Amino acid sequence: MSSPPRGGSNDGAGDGPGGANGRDACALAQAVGAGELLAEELAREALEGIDALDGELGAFLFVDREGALERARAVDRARSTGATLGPLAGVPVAIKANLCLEGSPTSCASRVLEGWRAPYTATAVQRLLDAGAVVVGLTNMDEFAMGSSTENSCRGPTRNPWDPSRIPGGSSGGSAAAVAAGMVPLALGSDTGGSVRQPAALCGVSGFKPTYGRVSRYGLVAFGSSLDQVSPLARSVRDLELAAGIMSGADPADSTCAERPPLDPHPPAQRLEGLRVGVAPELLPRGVDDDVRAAVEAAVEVFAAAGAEVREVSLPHLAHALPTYYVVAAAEASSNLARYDGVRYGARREGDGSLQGMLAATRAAGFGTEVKRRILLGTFVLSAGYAEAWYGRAQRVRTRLARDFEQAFAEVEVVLGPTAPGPAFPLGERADDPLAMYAADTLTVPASLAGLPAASVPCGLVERDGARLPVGLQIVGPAWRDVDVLAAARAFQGATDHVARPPAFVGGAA
Amino acid sequence: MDAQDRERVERTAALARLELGEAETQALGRDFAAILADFGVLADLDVEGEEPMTVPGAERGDRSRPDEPVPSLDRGRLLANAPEARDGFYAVPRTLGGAP
Repeated sequence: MSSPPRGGSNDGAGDGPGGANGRDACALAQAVGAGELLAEELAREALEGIDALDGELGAFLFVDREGALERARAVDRARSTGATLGPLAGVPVAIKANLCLEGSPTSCASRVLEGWRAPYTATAVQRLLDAGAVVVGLTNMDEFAMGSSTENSCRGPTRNPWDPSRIPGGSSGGSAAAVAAGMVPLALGSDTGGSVRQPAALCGVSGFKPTYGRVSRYGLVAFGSSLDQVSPLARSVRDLELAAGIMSGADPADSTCAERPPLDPHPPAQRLEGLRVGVAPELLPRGVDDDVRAAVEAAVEVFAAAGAEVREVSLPHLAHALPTYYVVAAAEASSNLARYDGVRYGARREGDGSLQGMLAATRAAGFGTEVKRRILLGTFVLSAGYAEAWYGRAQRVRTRLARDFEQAFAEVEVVLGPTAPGPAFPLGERADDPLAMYAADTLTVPASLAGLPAASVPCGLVERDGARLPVGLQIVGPAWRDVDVLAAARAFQGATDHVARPPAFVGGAA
Repeated sequence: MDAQDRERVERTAALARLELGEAETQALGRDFAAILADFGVLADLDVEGEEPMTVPGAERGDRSRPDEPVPSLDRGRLLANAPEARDGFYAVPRTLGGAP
C-alpha cells in the first residue's frame, strides 16, 4: 500500500483476551523485556488456563509443562543478566502437532505415528524459540492436516470456544481454539488449502498464510508439498506480522523457500485510504450464507468508508478451484504418505509376516478413513492411464487460476471475500459426507493453488440456534505482497471492534 | 457400488499398499465414485496448450547450496524411532531366501 504510516494507538491490539490480562504477543514480549512481567509467570498462567479449559475444548494433544517452564526460566535468566531479549521473549505459543519440536510427539493426530518423537526442530519453530517464545504444547488437528473440522483426529475432536457443540474448523482447529479461548496469544498452524484461515474465521481469531516459499517447510510434516505453508494464528494482526517476520526468510534446508529477506516483524501501520480493493462475484457464490455475505459486504463498506477504492474484478476459473485442489493435494499426499510403512516411524503391524503384508497391515491400522480416502484419490489420479486426464489436467487448470489472480492484481492491490461459506457447523454434521466437508474449503483453496498470501480477520457475528458465531473476512494479495495483505488486515482490525468480543465460552469460564 | 467401482477401489488400494476390509471397501468405493463424478467438471475446461503448474511462483528453479559436509542427524536417535532396528540398521521381515 502507498499510504504513509498512521501511527496512533488503535491497531486492534491489546484489546480483548489473548494472553495475560488480554495483552497480545507484542505487548507481552515488551513487558517481559522491560522487566514488568516474568516469563515464568506467563508460562504458569498459560498452563493453568490449559488445565482449566482444555478438558472441555480438547485443543492440545500434548502439553509440555517441564519444557515450557524451563524455556521461560531461561528467558528470565537472560533478562536478569542484562541480555537483550528477542521479540517474542516469554510469550507462550502453541504449535500444531505436524510441526517438529525435538523430543516431542509430533503425531499429526495419527495412529501411524504413535510413539514417534521428533528427532529435530522445524526451522519455523526454531526461529520462534530463538526469538524467546515459550512453546507450551502441540495442538490437535485433522489427521495429517486432512480435514476442515478437526474431527479427523485419532484423539477425538476439538470443540469451538464460541459453542462447544460445534467444530472449530480445521485442520488447525486446536491452534485456533487455543487462541480463541485465550490459552495462548499466538499459535502456529499449517495452511495447505485453508487450514489456518478457515479455523481462524470459525473461531473468531486472525490467521495468515504467507506466500508459498516465504516460510521454510523444513520440519513441517509434508501433506501437499506445493501448497503447505507454516502459518500463524493470533487475536491481533500485529502478532501475525511479528510471527511472519520472525519465521520468514531463506533456509538452506528447504529449496522451495525463497532467497528473500525476512519480513519486517514490526512494520508501520498503514491507512486504507487510496487502497485499491477488489471484490469478485466468484468469491461470493451461491452457497455462501446470506448473513455471512452481509457481514462481508459490511466489511467492504468499512474499506470504502475509510477511503479505499472498491472495484469489481473477475476470477472466471474459481468454480473449478475445489476439484483442482483436491486432485493436486491428494496426489501429493498419496506420495508423501508412502513413507509410513512400519519401518522407520511409529507403530508396526505384522500382518501375514511378509514385508508387503506388514506394510499393508500397518497402513490399514494406522490411517483414519479420511486419510485413506485421499490416499486412494491421489493414487488413482496419478495411476497409469488416468494421470494425464486427472492430475495433468488439474495442473493446467491451476495455471489458469493463477493467471486469473494475476489479471485481477493488475487492477487492484488486494481481493476481499468471505473466508468460509458459513459459520462453524455442529460436530458430526458432515462427518459422513466428504463432499459437504470439502465444500468448507471452497473459498480458501484458490489462493493456495496460486501460492498467494492470504489472511482471515474477524468481520462480524451471525446467529445459529441461539449461538453467536464469528465470520471471517479473507484478504488475498499478489505473490510476495505479504506486507500489503497484513497491513490491510491490521488497518481493518483497527477500524472495527470485532477483535474485542470474547468467546462466550471464555466469558463463562472467566 | 457396482462392479466397476469395486474393481477401481480394489486396484487402487493395492497400488497404495492399503489393506481394506469389506465394509471399508464398500464405503470408500461409494465415496470414491461420488467424488470422481463431482470432480468430473474439470473435464469441461479446455486447457489444451496450457503449461502444467507443479509449484507456484515463476522465480523458482533448481537451486543448490554449497557442497560442504555438515553433520547429519544422529543415526541412533533416528533408529530409536524405528519399530525394529538391528546393528545400526532398520529391520524388516525377510524378503529373500525363505524362512530365517
